[in-house]
Amino acid sequence: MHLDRLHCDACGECTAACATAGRTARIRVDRGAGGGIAAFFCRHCGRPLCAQVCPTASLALGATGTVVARPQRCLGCRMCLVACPNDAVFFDGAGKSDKCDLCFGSLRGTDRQPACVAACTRGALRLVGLRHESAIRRGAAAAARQVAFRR
Amino acid sequence: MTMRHVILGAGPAGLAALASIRRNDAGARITLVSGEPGLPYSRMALPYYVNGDLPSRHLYPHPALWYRQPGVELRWGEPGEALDVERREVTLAGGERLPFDRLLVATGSRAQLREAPGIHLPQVQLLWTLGDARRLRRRANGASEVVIWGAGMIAFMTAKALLTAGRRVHFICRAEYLLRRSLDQEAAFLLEGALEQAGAVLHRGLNLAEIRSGPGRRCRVLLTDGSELPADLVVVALGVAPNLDWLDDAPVQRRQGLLVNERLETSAAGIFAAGDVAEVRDCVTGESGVPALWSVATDQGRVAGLNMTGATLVCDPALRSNTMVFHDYVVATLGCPLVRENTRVYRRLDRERRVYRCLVLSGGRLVGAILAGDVSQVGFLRSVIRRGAVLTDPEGLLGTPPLPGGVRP
Repeated sequence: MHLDRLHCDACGECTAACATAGRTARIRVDRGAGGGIAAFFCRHCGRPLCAQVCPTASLALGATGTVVARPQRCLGCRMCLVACPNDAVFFDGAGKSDKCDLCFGSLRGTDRQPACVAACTRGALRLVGLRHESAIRRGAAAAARQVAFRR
Repeated sequence: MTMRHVILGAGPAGLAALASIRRNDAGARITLVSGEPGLPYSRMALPYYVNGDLPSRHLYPHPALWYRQPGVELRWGEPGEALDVERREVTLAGGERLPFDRLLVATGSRAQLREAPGIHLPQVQLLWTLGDARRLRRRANGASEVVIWGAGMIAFMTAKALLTAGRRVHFICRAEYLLRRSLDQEAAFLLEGALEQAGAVLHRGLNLAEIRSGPGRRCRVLLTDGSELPADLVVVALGVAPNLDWLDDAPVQRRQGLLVNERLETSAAGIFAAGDVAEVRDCVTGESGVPALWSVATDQGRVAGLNMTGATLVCDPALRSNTMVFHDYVVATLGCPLVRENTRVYRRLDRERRVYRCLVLSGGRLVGAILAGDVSQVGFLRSVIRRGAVLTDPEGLLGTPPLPGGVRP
């Protein structure tokens, strides 16, 4: 996921789109005090610090290069929150971690985009560098096994 | 020639090292030695297992299959007992000798039991190992009064595990407030408020004098002011000490922990240390010490593992950070927020919303923070400390909604 800050006007459409389906929004873009764009969303790092500190491997790097959360293992200890420089781990009402999954479920076998990307009025948010993207789009079974941990 | 790696300790540092050795040198032979019986588990998760929130299968960060990778061998139940630097061998408690080319000492630390009259009564225990947790879980059934000796991080986690409906948890707190080494008074009072609401009682400025058996299956805890607490259970939570006794005869330099260079190699070539046994430089103060923190251990494990395979990676100096969560109340600490020399402290307390944010700056640079009730931007602040960036608008980060800005690299 990439945000082109030159084109972003912090309109908040991405947050609103993410918050649909009754979940807490997993992306927040604000205008900072200095006028710059302050963006809080998961970049799906190649070496995710949140997953590195997670004591129960509730957060992990999946086979497609997305950082995935398994809330049933989450302790709610918030160590991931402290570790993430983008403040991109959110917590649901039960205190379990809740983070961007690139709307993975709805990408499978379709040509759709993640909700925030689709909602971005300026074309500033883009999905880039998703591993096996074309296979996922085709709905290939092997690529759909998102929770195939590489750690 | 294939390298023979031995990793002593299967905590966060040991497991991170195993993963990074595998990633960097798929042909390496690695023996992981866990001093405790059974599959390596996550110590952090134990309190959540005690209170029943977490099923026992989720205590294990990796399934048994994960350790059955080619070249990897997992030994458990036998801690290392002696190190022969010359012959490059580790002797395990069972007498077996493991030869190595590269060794990682990640034996962690152990909870301290202090001598006091009655400390060996059956009602008294620690909460450190999975065995302790199982015992505590069993005993906590039907226990209504619990006494915790100590007021640090382990004491807090123990209370968190035991504070369920109708149970009273007493803290014997030598200081005036909880978590004295991590929090300032304002943040501690807010956290204590959440605990007290759930049934915790703090006995401030007091110490334990004696534990007496009876009446019945209970015991009585005598405090230094002469008062007496009935208890079904006493948990000793007085801090930890690194597991280094077994290295007493080994020619490896140590002070509080094993001294390591910036690549985490000890004074003996090819022998590395990570986690609670390693003495490293602090990111903020520059002083040498043993942070004994989970997040630091995972990073050191990763770097040590890479360096064991021949990399020359410099490990970031340790940045202390901690979180305390009680139900929905979250407190986070970063860096060294209790340093008061040559610092300027910015703070804002909102009693009504139970929000407290405190930033400590030194020469314009952020050196520590305590965030209670509202931890927004904690990760951002952590990276500000890490980078040594100058904060031009600390006031702006105290309020809500806090926005970054005014950061100059």
